[in-house]
Amino acid sequence: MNYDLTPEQLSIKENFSKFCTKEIEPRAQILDHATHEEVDKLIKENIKMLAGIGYLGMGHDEAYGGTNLDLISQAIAGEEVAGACASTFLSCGASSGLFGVPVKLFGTDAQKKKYLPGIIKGDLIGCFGLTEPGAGSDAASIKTSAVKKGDKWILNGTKTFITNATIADVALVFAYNDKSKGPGTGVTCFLIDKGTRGFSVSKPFDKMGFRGSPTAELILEDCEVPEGAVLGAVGNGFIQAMQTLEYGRIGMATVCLGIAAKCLQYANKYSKERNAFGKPINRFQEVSFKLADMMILSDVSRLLIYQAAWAKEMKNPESAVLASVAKVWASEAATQISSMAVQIFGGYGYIKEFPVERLYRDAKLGEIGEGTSEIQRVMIAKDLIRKYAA
Amino acid sequence: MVVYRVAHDKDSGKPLNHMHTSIAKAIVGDWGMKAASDAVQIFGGYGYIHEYPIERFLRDAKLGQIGGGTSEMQRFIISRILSYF
Ligand SMILES: Cc1cc2nc3c(=O)[nH]c(=O)nc-3n(C[C@H](O)[C@H](O)[C@H](O)COP(=O)(O)OP(=O)(O)OC[C@H]3O[C@@H](n4cnc5c(N)ncnc54)[C@H](O)[C@@H]3O)c2cc1C
Ligand SMILES: Cc1cc2nc3c(=O)[nH]c(=O)nc-3n(C[C@H](O)[C@H](O)[C@H](O)COP(=O)(O)OP(=O)(O)OC[C@H]3O[C@@H](n4cnc5c(N)ncnc54)[C@H](O)[C@@H]3O)c2cc1C
Repeated sequence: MNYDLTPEQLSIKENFSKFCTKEIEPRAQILDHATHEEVDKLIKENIKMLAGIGYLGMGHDEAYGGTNLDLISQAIAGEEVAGACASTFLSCGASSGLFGVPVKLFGTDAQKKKYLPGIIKGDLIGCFGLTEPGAGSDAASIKTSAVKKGDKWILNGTKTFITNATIADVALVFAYNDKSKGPGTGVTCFLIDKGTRGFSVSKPFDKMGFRGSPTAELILEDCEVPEGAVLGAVGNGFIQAMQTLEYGRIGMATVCLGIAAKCLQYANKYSKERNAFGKPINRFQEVSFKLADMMILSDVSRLLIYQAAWAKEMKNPESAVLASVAKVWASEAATQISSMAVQIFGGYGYIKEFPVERLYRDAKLGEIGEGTSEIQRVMIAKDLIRKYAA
Repeated sequence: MVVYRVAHDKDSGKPLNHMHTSIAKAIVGDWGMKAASDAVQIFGGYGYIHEYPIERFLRDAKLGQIGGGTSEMQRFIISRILSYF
């Protein structure tokens, strides 16, 4: 394996770093403190701005306006976006990733034509509805149902914690069309446009972090959609969801890395400028060793993310477990790193004027979203036990 | 990977990257110790007796945090490099 970035990858890093520092980062603090209505407006503007420099098309085919770049390049750009504003990363990721990737991988030509160009340009926003009030980690226990009536499907159920719900033009919704078949072949994924009768969105949740990315419920009450709303084929929904989440895990690891690297940058700078007992606080080993640990943890996160991205590109069968490894490490590293950053800022780290306070709150989602740390460990352990069986 | 990267730096003829070597040394030393300790735990009482190789791993792993520059020295080097940024 080659550990040097290509000249193209280096220029992606530089371009995104410049753009995000200038255009996105100044808005992060404003988004974090905004009302729900303001958040919806500001985040749409951010998505549109990043679409303007090609961010939402990086993983998509040229035929629909994308640039079809490799996953490492996407992680490089993603780290810069996430460091500037983690909420913006999450909302972009839910639209072009959690929504866009399954449409790209499993959608019909008509579905791709209808949605992907708009998603890539930032004119359309998508969301991904799997989680329900009674089914998070245990996604196979979802209750949302889809019943075929003539040439229509009738959906009933509630999806919760859905990123972009309040701003989405279209939602992917996973429902049982045949519970007796179990998740493997009994779940179907539907594309539901905003404004469809029987489809509504709740008020957004008030969250601890990622306050700049709206999260709400999708409510389906005898919601009627045509046959053409089925993503790909009937019965493939659960596998489609699981394959999508594999990409999602690399994404969640990347947002954690962005948060961690930004914490290190702020804390490193602050520790040189802040004096106590007659010298800069970075001259105290208690502080400088925290900085070193922040560097070690985030550097390993980056390598694990690149490794998982590379494996996925190479269609390595280990890629799913490597994505879980990267996600557990990067998310747990980010919660530790953000806590160390607040500590280095002392009392100032605890007040909202300083961005490490926001980064500390944002970091915690990494251990929960896209499969909790516990679920990642369950999957990693299962994989190990399977390998060493017999 | 942190170790492979140092090897890659060397193979591609680049000057030694002290940040890369110290990160590799610190993380491999500390996590080697943790892995060996967890392995002993999983083996329970059997992990503690000489018959199984596990207890030797734990004794050997400790050297990883000391030999070739202690874990603390690696952190000292990393923080010194950071202070130039
Ligand atoms: C900000 C935010 C955005 C989100 N965006 C989306 C989205 O866009 N689309 C979407 O579909 N979902 C989304 N989610 C939902 C997210 O994926 C779930 O919250 C997550 O999967 C965990 O499910 P849960 O909250 O129901 O927790 P539970 O599954 O109830 O878990 C509770 C606790 O039990 C533990 N646990 C559960 N099962 C096991 C087990 N077998 N072994 C060990 N421990 C276990 C968990 O690790 C956790 O600690 C979002 C969540 C948040 C907070
Ligand atoms: C909510 C809140 C309520 C508060 N209430 C009060 C109050 O009622 N009255 C009051 O007087 N104060 C109050 N404080 C202030 C609080 O006591 C200080 O924030 C605290 O003493 C740390 O000082 P500092 O913020 O200036 O951090 P700094 O002293 O600048 O420390 C920054 C970092 O450097 C480290 N550091 C500093 N010196 C050394 C050293 N020699 N060796 C190793 N590490 C070092 C610190 O541990 C920390 O990690 C409050 C703070 C908060 C956040």
